[in-house]
Amino acid sequence: MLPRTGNRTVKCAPFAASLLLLFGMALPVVAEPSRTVLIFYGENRLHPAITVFDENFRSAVQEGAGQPVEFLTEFLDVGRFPDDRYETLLTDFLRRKYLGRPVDLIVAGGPTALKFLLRHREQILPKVPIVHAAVTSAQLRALAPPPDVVGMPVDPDPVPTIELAQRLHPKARRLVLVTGTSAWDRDWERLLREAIPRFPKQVQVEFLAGLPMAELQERLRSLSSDAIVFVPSFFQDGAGVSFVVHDAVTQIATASAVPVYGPSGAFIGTGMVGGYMPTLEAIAQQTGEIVQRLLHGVPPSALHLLGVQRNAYVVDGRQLHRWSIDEKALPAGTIVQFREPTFWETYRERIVAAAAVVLLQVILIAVLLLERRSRRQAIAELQASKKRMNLAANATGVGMWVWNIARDNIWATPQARALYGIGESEPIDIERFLHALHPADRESTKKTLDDALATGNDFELQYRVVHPEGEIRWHSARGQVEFGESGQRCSVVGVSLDITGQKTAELAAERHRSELVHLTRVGLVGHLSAAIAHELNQPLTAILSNAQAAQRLLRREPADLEEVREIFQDVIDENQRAVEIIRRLRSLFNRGELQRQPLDLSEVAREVLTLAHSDILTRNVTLVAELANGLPAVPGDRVHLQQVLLNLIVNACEAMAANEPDQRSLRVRTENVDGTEVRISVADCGKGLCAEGLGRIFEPLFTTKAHGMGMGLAISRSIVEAHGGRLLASNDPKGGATFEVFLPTGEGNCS
Amino acid sequence: MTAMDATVFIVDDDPAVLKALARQLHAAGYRVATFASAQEFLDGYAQEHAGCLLLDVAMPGLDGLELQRRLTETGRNLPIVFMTGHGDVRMTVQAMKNGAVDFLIKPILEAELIGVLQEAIDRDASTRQARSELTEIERRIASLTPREHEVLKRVVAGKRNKQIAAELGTVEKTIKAYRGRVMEKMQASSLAELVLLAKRAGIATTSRLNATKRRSVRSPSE
Repeated sequence: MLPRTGNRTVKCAPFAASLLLLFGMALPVVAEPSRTVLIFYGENRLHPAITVFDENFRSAVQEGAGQPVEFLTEFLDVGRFPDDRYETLLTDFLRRKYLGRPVDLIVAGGPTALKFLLRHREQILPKVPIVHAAVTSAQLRALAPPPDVVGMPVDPDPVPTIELAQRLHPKARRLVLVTGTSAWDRDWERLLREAIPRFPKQVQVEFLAGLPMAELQERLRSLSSDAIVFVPSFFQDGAGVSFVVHDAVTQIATASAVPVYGPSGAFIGTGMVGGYMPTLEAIAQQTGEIVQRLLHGVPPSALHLLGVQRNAYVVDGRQLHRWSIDEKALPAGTIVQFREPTFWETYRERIVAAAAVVLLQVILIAVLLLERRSRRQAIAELQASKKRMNLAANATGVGMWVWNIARDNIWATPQARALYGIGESEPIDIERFLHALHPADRESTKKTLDDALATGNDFELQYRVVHPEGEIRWHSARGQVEFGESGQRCSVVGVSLDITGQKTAELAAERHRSELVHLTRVGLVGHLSAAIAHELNQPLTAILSNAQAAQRLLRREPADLEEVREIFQDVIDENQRAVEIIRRLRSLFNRGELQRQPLDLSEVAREVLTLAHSDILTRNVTLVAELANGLPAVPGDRVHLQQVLLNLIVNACEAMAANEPDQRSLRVRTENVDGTEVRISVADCGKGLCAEGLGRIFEPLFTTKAHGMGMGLAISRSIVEAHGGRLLASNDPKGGATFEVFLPTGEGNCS
Repeated sequence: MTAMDATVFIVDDDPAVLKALARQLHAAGYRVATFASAQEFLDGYAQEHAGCLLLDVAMPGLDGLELQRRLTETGRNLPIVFMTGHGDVRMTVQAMKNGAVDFLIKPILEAELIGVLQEAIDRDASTRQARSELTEIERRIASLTPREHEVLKRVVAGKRNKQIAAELGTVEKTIKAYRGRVMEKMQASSLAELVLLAKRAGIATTSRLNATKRRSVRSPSE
């Protein structure tokens, strides 16, 4: 601790500066200061009633306030967190938050907020007056606030609401009153029981009091249609679960099979029909006026607030519609919120348009009828119909064709000829048609046609068409076999459609999916590299720090050579450690951490080809798979071997990227080598490996690719060797490279 | 001057790195203390040691971010410089958000390391200065009798002697005497200085608004 005098001098300089600031600012202030009003809501900010109230309240205060008013807002959300711990934390948080922040007035929006504030105001903002809003007289009596808490209470008399419900549902015979279990809910229950004599005589009164929410909903769901429901408040259910009232009423109104009424403006929008209540706008206006007077310096005790908020009939227009309530039955002066626009108001434009279309059609039909009457010849009609059909076909891009089987002659619309890139006068037979297709699709298309002819079934197929300019389009075709009188197949009729756009999108989606799978697979390598990088960093850090220390020590006079010697020994040790890490990586796959099981390598190859299918297709690579059946089982790790194969296939495809599309052929073969080994080969038609590449391709970090890591083949070989096998690379004399994996069969050969 | 009694505390689970860093910083003229784990540091470090902490993020058991959190929790706010083997953005952001001075990627060049450590040490020195001033103010407040404390609270809230006298049920003259003693014990030469001292100690003080409002309300009766 500093001595007294010393301390004073230390502090004086900053204090003097602050003093100047303090006097300079505090004393001459005469301009109108801004006032701060802090509004508390018991619920969270998304509560719809709060939005309505808050907006109206702010504008009511600002109107004629005569000075700037700053509004701060707190959403307590205590309905959802009813425990004491939260209340303590919240109080402490609010206390700290407003420490040193002057607040002129507090507004308690609703009974929950008021209850909280009466309990904690002294900790948070001692002595700041409170104006409450939307609190009932009964709740006020129960809370017994001190004299500096003022406001205009609301007084929701249940009788007019129930009378309204009876008036709108004259056939109702049962009145179901729903109440909860909190102290306020019980007050309501008592109030309702006292009011029973004043209820309309036509209805029989029933209580659903203090039920758990689930049971209550069940009961409401099964109510007969001669019932109406009244719910005044619902803070807690029979199971002791606390609710935000708005949410509880929403659940009640949603479950109820009959209309629900209630006495609070906050319930409008929950699914409730309405009631006799003060509107939120009126409460906000009234509260705003009280706040204004207090801000103008009127002490709370001098406000003579007599009476309660004026009530009005308020209903939800959407609910009127839902329950088929006639608006004419509403009492005069009823406020209808959310009034639904009429069908005409909503759809005026569409109705006009539809009417116009109908009118046009009538005129058209009339014209056509006239025209038809004037030209009666059947041929002319046929021509017109053909013309129309062509028109429709052209408009949709559909080509139509008929294949006369006996004469092997195909008639096609001009649209169909254009689709296949066949000239207008060129005769078409089935060979000519197949010739228009992509070579890879000819075989399968021919087979589908043969099958259809054999079975007589309708068919649907997709194939690629190669236009004379070389453009490739995807087509979808549907056809139907037609039979002659004696049951022989005489023709096939069908339509073709260009679906290239759709197909491209499908392929793109498949490619994404496959890239994802691929990434997951190679993720293992990435993960490993990160771990290695991290491990290597440690010795490198130590070496660097040691070297920098040595530099400093050598600069000293006299240099501490003994320590420098020690440093060099440490540098050597750390270097050895780095070497060790790299050696460990190499042997990582040799340590027998493989999950071995007997594998059919043709099966493994098939799985990988499925995985790589999209990749192969989108790279325009033609796949030739020669997978032998009944191969002897190889004990191995499925995932690791799949990774090796996938790596080889992806490499092969990449090696052919520079080739012309018809020069991209990938051959994957599996075969049994004299029963002791299985051989898998992956051959491409790329430009092969250079002499240096052949020697070094399996070394780590050697790569011929622009973006390669140079780890793929090194890891692949480690995996194959861990299986007791060999991975070899060679060049094909005809061009291209071949990678061969030899894996031993049987447990005995496996290391 | 600040580095004089400052120590660089190094925590790294790698003994070779720990030794090399300690050697390097020692050669650069710093007082160094090393710890092989976060737990060891947590158990051994006391608030009164000035300096800064050079901390490895990734460690088995208690990691660097967790140690940072626990130090904050126990009110030991030593400035922290993190080290990591690889730049992990999420970790960096977390550490910086929690108030770290910097985040260095291993291996670390000396110029960068020393620059950052110096910044951390300076930061520590200025927080300590501020803290000792606050302790002094709190000591002065603690020396007040309960009655003097009541008077202090009301004086700095902008109340007049007469008003305070009424609230405490005594006469203005007595309050004046108390007020003098308060000024003396708090070593304040003016009301404004007293208000400033109280404000730093977290006592509610008068605001401009309240002062103006009160004046305008009272003026007719005075």
